[in-house]
Amino acid sequence: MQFTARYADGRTALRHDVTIYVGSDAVSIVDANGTVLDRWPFRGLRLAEEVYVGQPARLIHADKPDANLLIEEPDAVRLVCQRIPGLGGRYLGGLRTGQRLLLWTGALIAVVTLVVVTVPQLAGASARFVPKPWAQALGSAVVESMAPNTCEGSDAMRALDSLVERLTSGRDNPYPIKIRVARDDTVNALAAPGGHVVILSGLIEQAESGDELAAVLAHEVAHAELQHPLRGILRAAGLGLVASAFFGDLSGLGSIAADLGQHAMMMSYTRDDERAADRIAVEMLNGADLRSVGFVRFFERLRDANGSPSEDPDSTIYQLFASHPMHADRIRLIKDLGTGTQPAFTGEEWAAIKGVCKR
Amino acid sequence: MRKAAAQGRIQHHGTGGELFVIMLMNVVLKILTLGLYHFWGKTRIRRYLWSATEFDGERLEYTGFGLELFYGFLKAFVVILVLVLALGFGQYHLSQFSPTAAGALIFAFYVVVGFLVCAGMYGARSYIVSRTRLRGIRFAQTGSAVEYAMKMLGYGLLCLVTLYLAVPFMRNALAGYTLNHTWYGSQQFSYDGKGRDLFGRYLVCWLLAIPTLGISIVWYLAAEMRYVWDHTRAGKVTFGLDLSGGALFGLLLTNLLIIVLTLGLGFPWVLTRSLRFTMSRLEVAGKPDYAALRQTTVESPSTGEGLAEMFDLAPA
Repeated sequence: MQFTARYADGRTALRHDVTIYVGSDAVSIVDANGTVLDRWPFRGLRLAEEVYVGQPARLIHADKPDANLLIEEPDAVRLVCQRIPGLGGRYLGGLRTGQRLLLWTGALIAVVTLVVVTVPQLAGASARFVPKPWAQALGSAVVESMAPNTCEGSDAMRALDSLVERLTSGRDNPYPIKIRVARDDTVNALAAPGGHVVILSGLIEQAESGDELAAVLAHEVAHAELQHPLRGILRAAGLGLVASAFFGDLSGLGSIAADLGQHAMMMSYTRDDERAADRIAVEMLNGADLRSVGFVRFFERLRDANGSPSEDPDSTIYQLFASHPMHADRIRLIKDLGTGTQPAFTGEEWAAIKGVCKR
Repeated sequence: MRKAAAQGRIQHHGTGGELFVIMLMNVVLKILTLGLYHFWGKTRIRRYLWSATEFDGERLEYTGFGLELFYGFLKAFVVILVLVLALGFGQYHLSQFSPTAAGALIFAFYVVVGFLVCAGMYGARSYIVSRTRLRGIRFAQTGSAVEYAMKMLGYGLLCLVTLYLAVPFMRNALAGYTLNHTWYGSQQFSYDGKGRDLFGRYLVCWLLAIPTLGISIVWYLAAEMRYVWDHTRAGKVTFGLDLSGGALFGLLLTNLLIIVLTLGLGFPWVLTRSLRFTMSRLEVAGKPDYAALRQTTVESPSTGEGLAEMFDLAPA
């Protein structure tokens, strides 16, 4: 095969009109007088840059510093790129911009999906490698910032601690559970890393019986036992890290998308976690021979009263209600599995708890 | 005859769509490599932009490698790390004896870092220029990054003292130093501009800066660009730039609109249209003597623009 080309030898800026002969293992460069100017073996031959549709191609060679061969005829460019082994990598003349756009958009979607699915899982799974003191310190910090106004009342706290004691006795809990009651009108209870569980006073006010409170508490203790809060934080952090590191350069759009994705992740993952926590909670209630019917009653009542009582979807702590849609199957699970018979608190205990945040 | 000749001797063929695909690809590969592809992606973008730039029917060639940028970054990272550690160590020991000395140490740290950044900017250009080839002949930059940094810091101080009235002198001096040390093969560029020629124009824009909320500076920038190109030559080749302040303002304003309206996704189009805009306004007179133009003998820097990269100062 022979083509016309223009040759720069890398010593002066002069271009020479040449004919190149593409042999079986080398390209010969011959000038108008028939003088062979150089011979470039295929080995070491490269395209100087990506060649797009209609763009001239430049050949360079590893052993020929600064020299290059310019081929301008589109057909010649295509043939040379096909003929010489290993040269095709930078030849993009076969695909138009739109086709490559589609290709890489597909790749982006695939990769993002992969990352969004695997990174949070890996990050969540790494929870068990976090040293206990770290998790406890992190939990303390979270609790301090989320629920700074603690209610003190020794009778109430004794009653709650005794309930937790009964719920967790004989179970393999990674951290000792630390209960506190915080003054906050939100109807909620939270689990933070390191075994911290916070009951907000709004929940105590809304609960009609000790069983209802005990059920919610069992649910949060189950989250704590399963290390869900730490896993949740690590998941969110992992995804946030990936998002900010790699989408930062695309635009503000990337970080917005990443933020939305992060929240969607938190929600969908916690749904699985919720089921697991429900099961453990019922197990704990059964183990202590406590009635689990309060669980169902409380959620049903809340759902009827005000559709979704949660307010802050940004919280990294487990949000009881935003992520607790009481589906029929969850209610059934609790109803079917609950075997306990005893009330959670005595009358005096329940009264003390009810009054713990009263000024 | 190529149709290029009718449109001016310098042209840019890059399209926003193609650049967008490259940037999209870079994002995918960066995710897969935990961000490491950044340096290779940057190289890829440059290769595209260079090969889309045509002078007299010949396209520029970018010969840099991603690995060079990566090494440059690592080098700069180590330098900054050592400096920060030294600062911390010094602070710890000095603060017990003399708070004044500890304060002076912090000041010294900032001066050193400032100096490194200025030198790094010259180094970055040195790298980029040395990786640019036309007709098989490399561009090169001589001169010393230290000298450049001294000039920059000295003039910077002067600017502060004179309420920025010294800016045209600073910019002229820096442009002059850079251009006079730029080579295309054996051909040296030269610049004979004077800061005082720019001062009158700058003074008007400086006085108008507050009432126009700083927009008057665009008109100065256009004037400065025209002046710098007018006073630049490479042997028999001279340059000119047909750019009015209004045209530059229009470009910047539309660029801003594109970025805002597309939430930043329009960046590739902004970049390519700006390049086309500038290059189509560049006028070149005189023919280089290609046969007499020999390969440069200037040694190229082996790693790229680390410090400028760290402080996000390196171009595109």
